[in-house]
Amino acid sequence: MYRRENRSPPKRTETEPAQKASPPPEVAEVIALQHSAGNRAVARSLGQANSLARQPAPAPTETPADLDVRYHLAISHGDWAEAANLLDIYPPEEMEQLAAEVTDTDQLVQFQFMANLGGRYRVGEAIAAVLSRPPHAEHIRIQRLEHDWNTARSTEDWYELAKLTCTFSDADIEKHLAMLHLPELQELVTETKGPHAAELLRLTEPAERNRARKHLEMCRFAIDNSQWLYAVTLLNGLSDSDQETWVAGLTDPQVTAIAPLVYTMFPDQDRLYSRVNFRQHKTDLASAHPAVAGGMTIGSASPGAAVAGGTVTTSANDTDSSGTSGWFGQDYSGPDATNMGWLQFLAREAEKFDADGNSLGFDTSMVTHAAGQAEPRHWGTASEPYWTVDTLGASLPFYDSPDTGSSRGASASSATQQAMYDRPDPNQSVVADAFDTWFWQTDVAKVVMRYHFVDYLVHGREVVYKSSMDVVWSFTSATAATTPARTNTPGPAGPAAKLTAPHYAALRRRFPDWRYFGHE
Amino acid sequence: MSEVAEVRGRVTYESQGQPDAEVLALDAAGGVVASATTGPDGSFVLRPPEGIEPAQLFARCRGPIAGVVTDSVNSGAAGEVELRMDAHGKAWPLEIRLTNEERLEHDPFVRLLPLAVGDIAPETMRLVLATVGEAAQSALESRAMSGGAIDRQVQAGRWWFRVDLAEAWEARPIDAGESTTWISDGAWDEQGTPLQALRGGYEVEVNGPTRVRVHLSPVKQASD
Repeated sequence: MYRRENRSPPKRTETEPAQKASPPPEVAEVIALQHSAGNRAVARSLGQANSLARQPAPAPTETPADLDVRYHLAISHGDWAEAANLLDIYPPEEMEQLAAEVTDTDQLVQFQFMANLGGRYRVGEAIAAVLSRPPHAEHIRIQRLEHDWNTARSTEDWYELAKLTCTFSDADIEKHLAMLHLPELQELVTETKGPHAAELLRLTEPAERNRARKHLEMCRFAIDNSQWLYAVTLLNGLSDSDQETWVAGLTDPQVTAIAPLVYTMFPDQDRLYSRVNFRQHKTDLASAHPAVAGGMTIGSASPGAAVAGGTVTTSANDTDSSGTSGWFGQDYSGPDATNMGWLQFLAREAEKFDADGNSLGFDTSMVTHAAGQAEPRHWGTASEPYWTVDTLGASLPFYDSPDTGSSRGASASSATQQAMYDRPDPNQSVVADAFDTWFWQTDVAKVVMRYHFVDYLVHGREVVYKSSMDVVWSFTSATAATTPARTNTPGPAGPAAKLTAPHYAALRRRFPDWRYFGHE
Repeated sequence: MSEVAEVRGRVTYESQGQPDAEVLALDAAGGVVASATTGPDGSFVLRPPEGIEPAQLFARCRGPIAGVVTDSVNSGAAGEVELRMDAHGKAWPLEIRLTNEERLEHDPFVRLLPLAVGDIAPETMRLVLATVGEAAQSALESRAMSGGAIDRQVQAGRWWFRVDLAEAWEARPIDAGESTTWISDGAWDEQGTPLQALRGGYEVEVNGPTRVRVHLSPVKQASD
């Protein structure tokens, strides 16, 4: 704003022309023309009638004090045209000093404009000199920058916008990023990761931080306002940790609304698909592994493998409390065991041999059931196994999940242990069928029945470990009085992150709603 | 890649394509040299190994009509073979129904095997159980009953069937008892005449619409 300062009156000689008290009629005409036709029209007019640029000299009776009064009055009234006329009377060395009394940059700019418009070019130059010094120079630079920034934003010139943003102070960067919408922030983040990354380094962190903040704000908005399609899109764009938190925090009605969209928009390998599906089973999982004591005497066990902060061991010949041996076991002991679970898959084969030990092929004709399991299952071959999920579970796929009653696969479950035990029976009907040849077929001397088990340890929705076990019987007669002894042989085991495609297909076939496990 | 002589054709019954038929190409000695499964329209393409000339084709038909069909490779016009099931015999409905009054936990499975069809030689009929790859089958097909019965269209001829419900513990509860398998202990024709038992199943002659009844009994599965 205008600020009055003490200064000496303007120096003039007696021979200098006196100054007049009010603008001449021509100036008034110019101002009127400016108001009605605009600055350009006025400028054109001025260009044609240069005589207007010079005003008559002030009245001879006016004193320097009078001039001061008139000048400051014009300034205080914002009458920049008049102020320019009056300032032009002062000697050049005083012009800048007087002009500098106007401290508001915007007013100075207006002052300069009107001076030039009125042909008071000396005044205009004096004001320009003031504007070129602090603090006006910085103010003008920032104004120009703001203008350019807004232009880049409105024209969607993202590189230019990013570049200009980098020229702001830290505080102004934050202020400007806060003004941007989510798609604009995403464009800026993209720029910081593109070919100009080094140049835009200063923007990298704040742009991503503001994008993430805005993303979360919009996510909250979409969910709270039932904008499900938008919510799904935004959830999909969240970081892993944020997505985990947000999907876990959805209410039941929200996840019910979102799930069909997610299942339509994304493949079942997708992380959002997995999380939403996992969230849908939250209630089921809460009671998936009730505490139960195993009661097994563990036989030979593999060395423990470190898994998820605990240890997994595989045992091949455990004995139950009734003294029956031949069980095999998979045991996780460690923290968070209640959120661990075992998924067991099984492929069965019955290979026939003649008296010389030559293979006669695999009996694949029969379709049989596992006791307590509704799904009928085929018999496979070594090269074409037929995989099934092996659980009594009626609605949950874990080995220890209950059937429609309370029967469940043998297990031990507590806060520090999640173990499963199995002792399958050979299928005598298949053995009998394999031995029962037609008269033109080669006699079968031996049938080897093999059960290939693959057991996955899952932690929440993550697959963390994979183990295997082969159970084999060798029959030499279909009508033997006793079943031959089984051989339990542990197979490959180690860390895993995904179910194989055949195992996942078997899971989907029987439990089509359980799709959150990572898989090939 | 070596050049192979393709054999193209269709398996049909009264001009209708038969899907899910397994077509075997046989060399002069009767060995299986190639196999293919028919598509929805009954068409197939066989690709024998280089230098092998198939002489005979034999199809194991598990589609709408159950049965077999055989012909020479050179029988087709314009390089395409049509294996006509109706050339060996007309198809008739075969119904196999349980007489059990108790409700079984699962649907039993029925295995069907044609023993004699039309003019097909007995030696050729044995191809219905020929080993292809690793799979050595003991029947033409295995199908689940529905509602205690199965209805199939089968070629006229002599058929073997076996009904059972075989189960054993795979996943096992700690207190599991013995599992139960159901096997047939008798089968009868429409007039109540017992059918001839054979290889754990029964023989039935199909020369028109045929209905048979079968009864299953539980057998406890022993464990080791």
